[in-house]
Amino acid sequence: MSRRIIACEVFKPYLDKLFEESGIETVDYLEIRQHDHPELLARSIQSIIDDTKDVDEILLFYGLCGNAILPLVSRGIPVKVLRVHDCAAALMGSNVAYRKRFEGNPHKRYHCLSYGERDDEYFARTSPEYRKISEEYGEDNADYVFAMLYDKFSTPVTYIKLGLDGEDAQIRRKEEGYYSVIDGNLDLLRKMLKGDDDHVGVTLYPEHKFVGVYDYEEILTTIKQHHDDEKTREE
Amino acid sequence: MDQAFYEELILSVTRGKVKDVDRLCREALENGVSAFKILDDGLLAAMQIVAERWKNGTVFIPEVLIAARALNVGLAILEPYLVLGNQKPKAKVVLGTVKDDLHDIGKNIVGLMLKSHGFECIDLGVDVAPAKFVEAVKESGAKVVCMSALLTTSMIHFTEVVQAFKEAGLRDSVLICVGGAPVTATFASQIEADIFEPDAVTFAEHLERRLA
Repeated sequence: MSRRIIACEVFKPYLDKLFEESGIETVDYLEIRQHDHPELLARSIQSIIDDTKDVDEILLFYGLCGNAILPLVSRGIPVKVLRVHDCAAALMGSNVAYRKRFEGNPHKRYHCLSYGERDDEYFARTSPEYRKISEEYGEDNADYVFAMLYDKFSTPVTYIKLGLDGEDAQIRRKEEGYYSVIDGNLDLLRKMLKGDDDHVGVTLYPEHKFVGVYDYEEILTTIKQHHDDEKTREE
Repeated sequence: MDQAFYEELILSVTRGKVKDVDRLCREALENGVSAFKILDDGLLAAMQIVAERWKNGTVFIPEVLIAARALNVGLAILEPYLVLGNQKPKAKVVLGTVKDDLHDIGKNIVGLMLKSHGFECIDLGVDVAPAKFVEAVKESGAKVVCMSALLTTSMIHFTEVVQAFKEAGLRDSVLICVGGAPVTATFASQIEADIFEPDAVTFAEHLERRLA
């Protein structure tokens, strides 16, 4: 079965690890930053879907991701997406593990190897984002933005460890207590690549649309589109 | 004050120049300009521009925060002049971010805009359990409830809040409004919310029209 793989760049080191088992495949990676604006992320993904021809399926390594995937349509080739709220569940290996960790816990900030560097890129006062805001709107406004966006979430960050090179060094770079380290596993991603477990993904067929369920088990599903939906989408 | 004044005020809000916003608002008041005119033609006009840019994807959360902060500075100066004798607020609104969610930027902007439009806000904060929304309505007599979430894992709690109001026999007494980045019109309809508003900046106007 031929396929095209589209993935968030957060999955790159993990897919590279899995490709050591299964054979290297080409992946279209999109920047993590696109999650900041879900509508733009949806358009980026849709653009690649629209551009895809002559394969049997498209594998999309995204979850609900803030509902960014809801507007996607299949142009004839089925699109299979991870049955998860976000990448943390995918890297923890199951929605059961994700629920155990995060249900009832409002402090849901997490990191992993490919995301961890973003602490310095995003959250630190030395980050490019801070410098950009500071240059455009002044340091006072930059401090305000960072306090509003990031400071309140400075509780221990869940670090999902998958046994890859670089993780220990990354964890050690932060002060003690910054991370709460848990073991993830690649089972969910592996099953998605192998295609031997229907429940790890949700497949979007032509003339269907994604619908969020928002629990910790089904998460999302698909239903047949009505004619009005298509008209609204075109508008 | 002439058009150039309002253009300067609008620019100061959108650029987050809080000292200039402070100065310009005071200057206008000293010159006898109505606080309502400064609010409508200056501060709120600026937020309209920000809302448009947000919709177009030309600004992001930092720019919205910066402008909202400047709006807040101006509003604090105008507020004493906006209260006219015994004028009642347009309505009381209970607002909060639902359980298991700490995000409050959108909620705070909604609160700010509601205040600017003459509503009284009872802000419950974040990680708010369904029962707390009901309790706040019972205590305050509020007719509007605004719920926000930024995580898809939190959206399930919207359903619980609606259910809590039904069980308390209060569902028909309140307008339930929902918003937040992942919230969709389809979802709002599924949970039987009365108002879905994807734009925190323009929600207050939407509510005014609904209540009119």
